Amino acid sequence: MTATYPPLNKCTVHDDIVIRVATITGHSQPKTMSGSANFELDLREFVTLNIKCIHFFGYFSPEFAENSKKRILFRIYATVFVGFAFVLSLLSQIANMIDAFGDMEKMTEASFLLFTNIVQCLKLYCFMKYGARVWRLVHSLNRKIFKPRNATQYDVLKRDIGRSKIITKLFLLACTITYASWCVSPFLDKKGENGVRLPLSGWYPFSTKETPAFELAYAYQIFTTWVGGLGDISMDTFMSGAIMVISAELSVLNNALETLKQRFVDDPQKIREEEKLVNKELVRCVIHYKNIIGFANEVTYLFTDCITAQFLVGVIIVCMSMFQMSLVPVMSFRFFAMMLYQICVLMEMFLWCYYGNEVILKSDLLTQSAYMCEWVDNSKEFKQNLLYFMTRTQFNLQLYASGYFALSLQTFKAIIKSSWSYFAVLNQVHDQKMA
Amino acid sequence: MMKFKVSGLVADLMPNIRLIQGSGHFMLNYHADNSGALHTLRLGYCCVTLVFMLLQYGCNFVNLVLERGDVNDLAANTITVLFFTHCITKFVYFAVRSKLFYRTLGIWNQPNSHPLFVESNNRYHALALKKMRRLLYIIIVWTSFSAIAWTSITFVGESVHTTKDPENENLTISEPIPRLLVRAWYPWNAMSGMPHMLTLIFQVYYVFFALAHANLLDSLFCSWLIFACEQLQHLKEIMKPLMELSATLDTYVPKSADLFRAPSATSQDNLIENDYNSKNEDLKGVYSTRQELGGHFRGAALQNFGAGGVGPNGLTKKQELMVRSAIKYWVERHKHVVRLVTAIGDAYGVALLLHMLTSTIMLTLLAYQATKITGVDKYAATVIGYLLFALAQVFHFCIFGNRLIEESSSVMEAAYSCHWYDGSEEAKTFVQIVCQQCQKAMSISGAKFFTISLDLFASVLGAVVTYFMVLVQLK
Repeated sequence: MTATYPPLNKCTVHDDIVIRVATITGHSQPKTMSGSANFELDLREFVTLNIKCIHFFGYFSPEFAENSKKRILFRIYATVFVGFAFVLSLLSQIANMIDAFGDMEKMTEASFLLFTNIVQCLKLYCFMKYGARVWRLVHSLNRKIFKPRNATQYDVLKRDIGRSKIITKLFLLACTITYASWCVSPFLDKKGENGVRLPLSGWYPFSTKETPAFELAYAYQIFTTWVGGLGDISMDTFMSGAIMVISAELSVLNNALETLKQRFVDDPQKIREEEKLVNKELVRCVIHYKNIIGFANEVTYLFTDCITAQFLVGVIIVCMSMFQMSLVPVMSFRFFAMMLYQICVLMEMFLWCYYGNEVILKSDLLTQSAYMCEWVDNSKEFKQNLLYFMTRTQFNLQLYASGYFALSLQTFKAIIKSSWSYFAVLNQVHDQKMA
Repeated sequence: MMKFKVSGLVADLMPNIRLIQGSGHFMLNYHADNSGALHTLRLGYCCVTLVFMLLQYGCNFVNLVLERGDVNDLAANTITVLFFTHCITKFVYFAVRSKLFYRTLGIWNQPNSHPLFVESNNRYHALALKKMRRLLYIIIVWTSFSAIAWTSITFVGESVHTTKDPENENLTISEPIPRLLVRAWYPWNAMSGMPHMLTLIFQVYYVFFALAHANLLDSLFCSWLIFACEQLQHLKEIMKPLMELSATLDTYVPKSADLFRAPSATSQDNLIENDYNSKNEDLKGVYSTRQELGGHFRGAALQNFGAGGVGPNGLTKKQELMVRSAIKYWVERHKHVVRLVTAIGDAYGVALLLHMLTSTIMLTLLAYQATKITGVDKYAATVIGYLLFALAQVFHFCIFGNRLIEESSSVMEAAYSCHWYDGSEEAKTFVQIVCQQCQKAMSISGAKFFTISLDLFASVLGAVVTYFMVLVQLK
């Protein structure tokens, strides 16, 4: 099987984690690992595309050796890039918000992008603070117990890896289209208004009415929001990729349980050895489940703050953008741009909720999959182990953000309902003010 | 193309299958003679049905667009269009996913069997068959009655609709429209004479077949659920004799001890394979449940009790193997039922989701229409007719989904209430594992969004009543 994965830099040695040696430019060949050679798969493919994007935007440093020249260079690049593109823009928006305080329309216009950027700040902080642990998480994706052991499992993992990549690419494309429509909207909607206004509001220390200043401010706005948006989405799809890994591994475990005894030939002479092997298989499944739970706990621990903040702020963002949409005529480009933006924000949360829901559903199936294995003829030890396992799998695996928001479709429904009710209230207040 | 073999579910549901094929669904299997010409003929029949359905549906939709000025007309036409959307959806859904339906119908082709439990199995199978037939009759009667009622109500009252007076914008006049079952736009004038007659006949055909498409598929789904429930009943019933089989001799002397009348000492011991009954037609008459057990058992040396004497539970090796085979039958049969229910959910879950989506919108609009009822007239009759029909469709599958949930959760009850404390170690472990599996009831879900149960029906009914009350207040 040809190497289709971009190699990563560091090599770490753990009991179950496989060694992979490569450089960031992809010169050296990776070592193949033990196990069934037919079903070789690098599970880090779930998140490699996202990691490359995040590297590019300077949010997350690659694995360089301590104090190497490359590390320092990257740090400088990151500081300059992030500082220019992100921090300055954030400061300008905060200043704008303070400036526009009191005027509801101006405030909502100023706020919806501001809130997204604040959440992005938090995500950036998470990645920078937990950089080493995130790398350990990514490398631990390749532990031996997560690898597929038959054709069905291999297909499931391959299909989910493909899906993860497609989702990332589609989402980045949607972001680009949204920002493109924002760039274009001031020129298309300018009939009746005095001159062309900037697509987004921001506070600048110079006046943006004259020609060179306007073009500069316009170009800066477009560049920073586009870059910020793409960076934000790469971080979001990284998190959803991690959740997809959990869901894919649960499918693999379900399959492993159902086909538990199929690997062993029914040989009446070797009953004793066969019993031992079958028991060992079951124990392997139990360990697999423990590993999945451990992985899920690690993912939850690292990203719990980001997800909570995104949910809380997402409600406000959707409400604000719905309000903005109600202020402009329906067929204008700005309306269309706002709607796209809203769809992007909702999609971010939907991805997490959908795959969190998949995790819940698949972990519910574990008891049934364990029951479907051929347990009647096996030893008493096997049946007792099976009983312990089935007792544990009565409780499904739910991913929680901050211990309260379960990642499931119910939470997503609740988010939409809350945004709608806040929007209705805001609309009422605005109408009363106008009247 | 599948080989034509009438067995299992296909044999039980043959009347349903024939009716479904007759109504024009794309079910092209299950024919004795599937040669090229006949196959093409049947395919042609299905395609012609599809074309007619879509044409008439298109005419309805065009009429909706043309008459969107008046709010009342808009509401009425939207309800009609949604009603037939649901029928078309089921038709197209079956055509697209027929492979899953064939798979579900073929799942029960080779059930296992055990001589001890043949009588119970047959009894519950007959019960399931009776219930499925009864359901089919009810559906046929209900569909025909609805079609006839729809046709007859067309001829009651005036066939008019109100439009704006062309002279005076504020007044409305009543303008005659063709006396047809559903309001539709036709490129020809269907007011009277031959075109009217032909259009009327075409519409009668359309209404009857559209209702049949939807109701027959729903009844197929419910028949599957009836079958699964009866199998679960069978499993619950045989739990008790199974426990008695394995009971230890010092705490409880089972009456069924004489079940183990050992045949001659030189007979081989074999476990019964899954397709034993079908391979040994001539032995069917030999076994009556409580009499001789003979047969051939495979001598798999799974447990060594020494020189074939009395084992740890006071049972001989033969008895131990008998218990093991009975447990194996029970577990394999239960797994088979679980696979059947999973296949049913895969085949029909999305269709139920689409049904609930269209029904929700349609029932909301019907609640609005119901507030405008002024007396016992044609309008009231049609609105109430639509309401009852839509609610009956939802009730139809909710009640069987609920029964499945109840049956599967009561298996644990049955496992607990049998004399498990008298059973052997192996039997007790078996009961434990079964209890773990049955703690979660088997249910059909509408593509992961909701569960089909009476709760769903209650929430739909409650929502309709709430909307009605609120809208009446607002008037």
